[in-house]
Amino acid sequence: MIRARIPIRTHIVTEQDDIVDVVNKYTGEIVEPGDIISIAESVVAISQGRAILPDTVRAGFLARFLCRFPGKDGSLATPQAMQLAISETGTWKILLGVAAAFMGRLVGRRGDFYRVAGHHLALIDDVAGTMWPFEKHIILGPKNPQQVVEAVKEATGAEAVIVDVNDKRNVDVLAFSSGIDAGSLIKDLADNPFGNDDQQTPIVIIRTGEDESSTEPS
Amino acid sequence: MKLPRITNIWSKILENEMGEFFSQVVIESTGHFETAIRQADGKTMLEGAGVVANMPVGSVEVYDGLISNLYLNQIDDDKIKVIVDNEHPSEFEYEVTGELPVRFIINMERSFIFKLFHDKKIVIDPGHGGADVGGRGPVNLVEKNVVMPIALDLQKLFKQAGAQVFLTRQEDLAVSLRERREVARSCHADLFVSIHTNANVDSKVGGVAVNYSPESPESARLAWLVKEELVRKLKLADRGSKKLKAYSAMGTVPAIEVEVVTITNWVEEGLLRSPTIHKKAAEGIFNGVKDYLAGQFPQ
Repeated sequence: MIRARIPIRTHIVTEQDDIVDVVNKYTGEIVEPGDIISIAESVVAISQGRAILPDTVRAGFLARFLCRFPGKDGSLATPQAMQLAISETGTWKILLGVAAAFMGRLVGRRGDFYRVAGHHLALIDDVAGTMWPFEKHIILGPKNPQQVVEAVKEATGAEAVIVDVNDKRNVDVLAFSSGIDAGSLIKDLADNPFGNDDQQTPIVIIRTGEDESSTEPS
Repeated sequence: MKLPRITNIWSKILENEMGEFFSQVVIESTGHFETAIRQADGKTMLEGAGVVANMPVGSVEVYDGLISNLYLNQIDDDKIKVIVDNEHPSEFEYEVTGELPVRFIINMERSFIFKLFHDKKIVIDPGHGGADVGGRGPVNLVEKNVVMPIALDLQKLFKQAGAQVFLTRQEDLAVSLRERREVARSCHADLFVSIHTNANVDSKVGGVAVNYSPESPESARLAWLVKEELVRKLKLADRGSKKLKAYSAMGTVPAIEVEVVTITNWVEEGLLRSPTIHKKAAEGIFNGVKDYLAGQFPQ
């Protein structure tokens, strides 16, 4: 069970940072064995240079055409975001995704685009998806999240997860290190990874285990 | 022995059981440490001994009308100082709660702001409506819709501060300028704040502007202060302030037209999808009006 959540404020992470160094610097003196370090996916992506200013993206004809079809409030409704999705996954996969989405719609099913074109495209945040100073950027999903969590584990000795918390406070766990029991803990985390506080920090240390104060002395 | 570490500092506005609003500053630490707290020169200072900063030292921006910034300094190997930079006088209460993290909480009352607003009647005018959609974004947003959540967030902030608020429209209806003016006249408004977005044929043009009624000299001051605070919150380009002839008929009521962002800009249309940005825009406008009522002048 989750015993405590410690939100960790960091400096503003940019592409000049190595995410493992950042996590180690701000959690190294605090974490204990058994802790889980929860890292926001957008911060991992930003450190990997995956925050893109829309002005720097040249949207081609296909992107301009395809961006008319997804939900307008979704993340692929601008030519620039769609162009980045095409660059991420390849033209053919995008077209197969579009075909699947079209067939899916005929039978009233949603989500086929991402199932075929790749779930990582669902991690693209269009502008205003992230906090200042990256609110004017499109943020792609992080690369190699599994390698990142294992590297964080090696550097800190604690377990690590990368999570995506969306506007509605739903949570996706993108990757978790090898020592985490994927069952109950991930469920706990997915229910409420950052606690009830609306102050989001890039890192939260999650302390697990039985609550000592409630344990009867033997 | 390991010293406790300060892991986070933040602030937000809360309401107590009496319905009074206050600014809460929270300093989070991995353990308890000795503190002393005092006020001097418009600042509230907490000094801590037997503790180190885990988070970066320096400032945390707040701008909630009462507090501008929080500063964390490491003043000795095991001593820290947190400075709350108060824009206005405020008494505080202090408490320590929790175990992990331990929260050192400074609650600051906002009666200074209440005194500025409590006898004021403010008209909020969400621009356009009905068949008059206003500006259009490159993807799909239209001005008449996006101004509404901002107007409602702003209404909430003015009401929290104790003002009486009148909206010129609450639904998607066409309202003439005369009808809007009539709302201000009939309620004897002290201020008229119209919410719009800018539109430009060039989708690269972006930014914030606040235009004002040429009839009331106070309108220019209000416009300038609102623009400054809005730019500070949204961190967008400053497109300036200019006289708006259409507002001549507003008479002596200080009246402004806030162009929150430029909807025809690709990026700024995207910003308008975010409830966080609506809230920030409302906070910026609120802060500018607060500065105006506090008698500030453009610097």
